[in-house]
Amino acid sequence: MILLNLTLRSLWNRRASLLLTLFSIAISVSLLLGVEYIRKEAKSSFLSTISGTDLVVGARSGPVQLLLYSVFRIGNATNNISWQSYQDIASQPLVDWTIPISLGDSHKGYRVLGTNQDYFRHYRYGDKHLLAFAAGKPFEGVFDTVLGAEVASKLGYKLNDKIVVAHGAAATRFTLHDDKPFHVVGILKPTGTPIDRTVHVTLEGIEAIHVDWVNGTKVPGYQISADEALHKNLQPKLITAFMVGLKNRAAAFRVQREINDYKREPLLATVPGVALAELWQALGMFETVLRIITGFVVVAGLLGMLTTLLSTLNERRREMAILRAVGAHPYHVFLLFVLEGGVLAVLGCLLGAGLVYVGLFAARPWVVAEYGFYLRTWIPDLNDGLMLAVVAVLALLFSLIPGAIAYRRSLQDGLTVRV
Amino acid sequence: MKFPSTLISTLSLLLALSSSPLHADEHAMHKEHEEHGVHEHGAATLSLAVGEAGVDIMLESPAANIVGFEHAATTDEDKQMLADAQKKLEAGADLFAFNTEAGCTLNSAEVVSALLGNTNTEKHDDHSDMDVAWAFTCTAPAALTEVTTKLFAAFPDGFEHLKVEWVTDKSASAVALEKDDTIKLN
Repeated sequence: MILLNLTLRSLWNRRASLLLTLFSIAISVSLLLGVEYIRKEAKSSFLSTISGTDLVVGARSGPVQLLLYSVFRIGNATNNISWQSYQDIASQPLVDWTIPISLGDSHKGYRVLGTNQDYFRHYRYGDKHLLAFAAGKPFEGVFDTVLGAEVASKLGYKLNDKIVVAHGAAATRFTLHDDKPFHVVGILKPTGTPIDRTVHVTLEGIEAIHVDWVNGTKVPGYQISADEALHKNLQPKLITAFMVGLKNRAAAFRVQREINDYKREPLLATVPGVALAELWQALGMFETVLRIITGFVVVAGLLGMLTTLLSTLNERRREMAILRAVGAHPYHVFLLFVLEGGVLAVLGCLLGAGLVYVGLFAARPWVVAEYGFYLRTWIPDLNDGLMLAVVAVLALLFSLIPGAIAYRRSLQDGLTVRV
Repeated sequence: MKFPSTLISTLSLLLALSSSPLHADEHAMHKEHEEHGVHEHGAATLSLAVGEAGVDIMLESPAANIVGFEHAATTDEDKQMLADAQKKLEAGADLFAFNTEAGCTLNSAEVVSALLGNTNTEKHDDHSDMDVAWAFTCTAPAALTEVTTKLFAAFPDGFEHLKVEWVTDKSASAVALEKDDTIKLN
């Protein structure tokens, strides 16, 4: 106890340089914990984007690609699939519900998703939550649109506004569907998923804005007004993909096989969880690299501590000599250094954990506003505790070095130290 | 070589016109494409579906992983190996173990392969697959949390890596195995 007291007082005496050491340990520890937090959060955020959907079906490509463009709005489809194939599969006895989706147009950088009312009835995210409306209701008319939370807040839209959809990802004047604006009838509550960044319209609406287009461009002099378009056949012939809910989830692989063997058209069905796991396996290497880097940062922080302890060895020869003179054993001197390393490491870990906690708390409003992603409060788990324990043990091991040197010297040095 | 797109569209138009409308309709109705499934020796896919009654396990594998050859069994030796492999596969309780709380027992096992002559799937380039479907009945399927595979040990010369995908009532995921392991279904 006296020894610990002595350590703390000695540390306090040299607080200026040790405070810097403490901070470097704290920052490396917070990096270690922060990276781990982000890794876990990113995974759970990905996993919570889609739940309750048993299969996602699109044109034959790769399962990961299909999932990325259909659910996460990342990348593009290689092909569309026919309405006929969609109807065929949707009418199979094992299928409970389906949600057709049609992608390709955009609005001011936000993706436009064509779908039907089943989207609001069946699409679930997170812990099987249905989509909730902050204002308004699902679309009914052909030119109705429902906006994701971020689209509405970033672009300042409210109910009954009119918005114009652009053809493809471009937004030049030539490619705007400005003759057929959409009418905002609903705004969704934030979900923390890509839905927040999506403009939802009806499949018929997508069809209608393209009725007077030929080969992907407007034809001069050939225009069909929005009212006239309503009287045309707006039954889509193609969609991009569709989601499937089964009556019995255990049949997922059987239905998946049937769809993958579908003879009319090469289709691909994937179980979202399986495709996500594959994506994560592919990203696993980067995770490992990230962990190795943070590991090295922690070691660098501890080496900084070792440097400080070693550099003060000479200055502290008198201190040690006096301690010896008043009756301290050489192993007391040794313990003094090990304790010092231990105290620094524990304080560094606590400070680092505090930094993560406060940092996440401070960043939360900004991250929600910018990315629509809610940062959960950081609660350290067993794994985090284990990492901190490793840091502390490593610090103790490092401080054995100055401890051993001081031990040896304290045996040799008399009271009159020539520094 | 790159054709101008106009030439291609003209050609396809000509082709379309040359076939009679009736013929075209008939053709559209039977519009089918050939499937060429992947076939990589050493690799296989195992899918586990946990339902209300128990767990269905499906293995899709090149026959070479299991019997060591993919040609039709002609010699007595080949036939013996094929019969042995089939017997080994049908003993599903020796290939999978479950956590005891779930109380799973083998209900049925079915081996389908062109080698056994019980499938009409076309063979491509002399490669044949062997698909196995096991159905286990469980007294408490909801308590099923762990499945241990013993396929690598049962067929030591066959499997190199196994892609395992699973669905339960609550979740779905996949894992890649390089040796026998316990899969946690959560």
